[in-house]
Amino acid sequence: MKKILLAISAISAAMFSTAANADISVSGSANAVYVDAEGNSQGHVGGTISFSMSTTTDGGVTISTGGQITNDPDAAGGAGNASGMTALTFAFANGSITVADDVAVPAGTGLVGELVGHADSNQVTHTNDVALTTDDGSGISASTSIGDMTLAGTYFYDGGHNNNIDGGTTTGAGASLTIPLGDMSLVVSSSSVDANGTEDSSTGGALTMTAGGGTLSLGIETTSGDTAATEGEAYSVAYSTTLGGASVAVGYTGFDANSNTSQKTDVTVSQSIGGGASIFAEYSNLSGAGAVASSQTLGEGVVAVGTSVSF
Amino acid sequence: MNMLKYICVLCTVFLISCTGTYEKNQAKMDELYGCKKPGENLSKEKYKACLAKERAGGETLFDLEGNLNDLIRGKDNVVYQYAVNPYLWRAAIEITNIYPLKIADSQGGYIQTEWINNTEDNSIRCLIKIQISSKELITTGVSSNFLCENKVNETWSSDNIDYVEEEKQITLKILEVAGTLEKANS
Repeated sequence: MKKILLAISAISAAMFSTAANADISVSGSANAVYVDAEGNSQGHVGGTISFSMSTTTDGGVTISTGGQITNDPDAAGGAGNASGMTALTFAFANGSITVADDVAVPAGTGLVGELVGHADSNQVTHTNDVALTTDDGSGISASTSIGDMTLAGTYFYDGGHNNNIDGGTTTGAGASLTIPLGDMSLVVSSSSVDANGTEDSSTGGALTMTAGGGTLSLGIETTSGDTAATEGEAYSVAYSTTLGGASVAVGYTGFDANSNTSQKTDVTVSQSIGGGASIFAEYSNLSGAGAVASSQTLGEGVVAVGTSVSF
Repeated sequence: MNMLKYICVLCTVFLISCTGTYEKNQAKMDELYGCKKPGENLSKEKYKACLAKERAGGETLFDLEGNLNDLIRGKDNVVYQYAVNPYLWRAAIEITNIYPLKIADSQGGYIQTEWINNTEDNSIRCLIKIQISSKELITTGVSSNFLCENKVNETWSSDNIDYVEEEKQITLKILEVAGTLEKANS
């Protein structure tokens, strides 16, 4: 065995006189988007520079972190900010562990029909959203594989993102399990959050499968606990496919919570134009008794058309 | 108390899980779920950045460079288009040029050396496989495999050793040379 290792070392040493362990990469994205919420139009012009850093220890553990400088990719303003650099991920052969200021519990797993990235700006809200009020904070998350299944778990000890390990007033925990079922894939998740005594929990599931040349996703999401406004369930469906070279996706979600119903329909179309750029169009409509009435600035139907570029 | 249960269960599973399928499962989930990958739980800002990259990576509507070349130079001119990043490809060729190559497929971005024999020990031989998978010069655009065999009773058989460090060194060296080549051409 020793001879073998020596031989390999000789080969690799002959080939590679220097080798760095650290890896730093910079990437960016920018977008210019026209957004119209039933007459209230605005432009979203902005972008993000992302820095990713990683290194591998002698024992084979890859440690990574990253940061971003962002300037209004999704708002009509001009204020930029720097973020990130508050998470460290340790990746092993059989999983990874992340310690961060902003880990999130797996809530919203079943809301597969929510697809838009820009066409929810200036959209009316709904009083019966099936979601946790706070789903992230300073904490730790981990994921690992058990055969073909993947298990991920998160615990945050400070929903205020202040890394107060023993004094955070909002805490939460959750786990998700991804299970391949032949050509299908099932994700189930469960989370609970204690916000200064107000306890809420979320349970969701999503089944994704190939169908008719595309991908069909079915989901269900339920929330329960002390917050009556979000207590209920949502049923969601999405279908995505390609038409010509364009990616097309349609999603529908029906909410039944807080003794009210509302419906959200999302449609997205995107087309790559090469060089890391794409043009896209999005439409989202949120209506029903649970949705707030439209106003001069907020609309039920929102259209977004624009281009985004990855560098 | 529920939170403690979650942590205990997760830690236990993490410690006992040594199936070695994590990376493969993650790759499958990347392909299937994209920006909505379970366990990632991206913030809205990160989700939008992810969405932009996902949309940009689709099938191209038209090739502007190719069309302009056709207009300016005429369609009879041959326009060479690389299937993989030319700097990564040239770097990989440079790294392996001291060994005889069995396969060098520039369209598929695949290089495989012949068996490299150890002059001091005839019972060991190794080979290198390199796959360039990206048109862009990115760190994830190249992967390497380092395989060795032992001769026992005149029969060659795999030594079943994972040469993680050697493979990492090959990949890093290719990236280093590719970066130098790109700078020299910019």
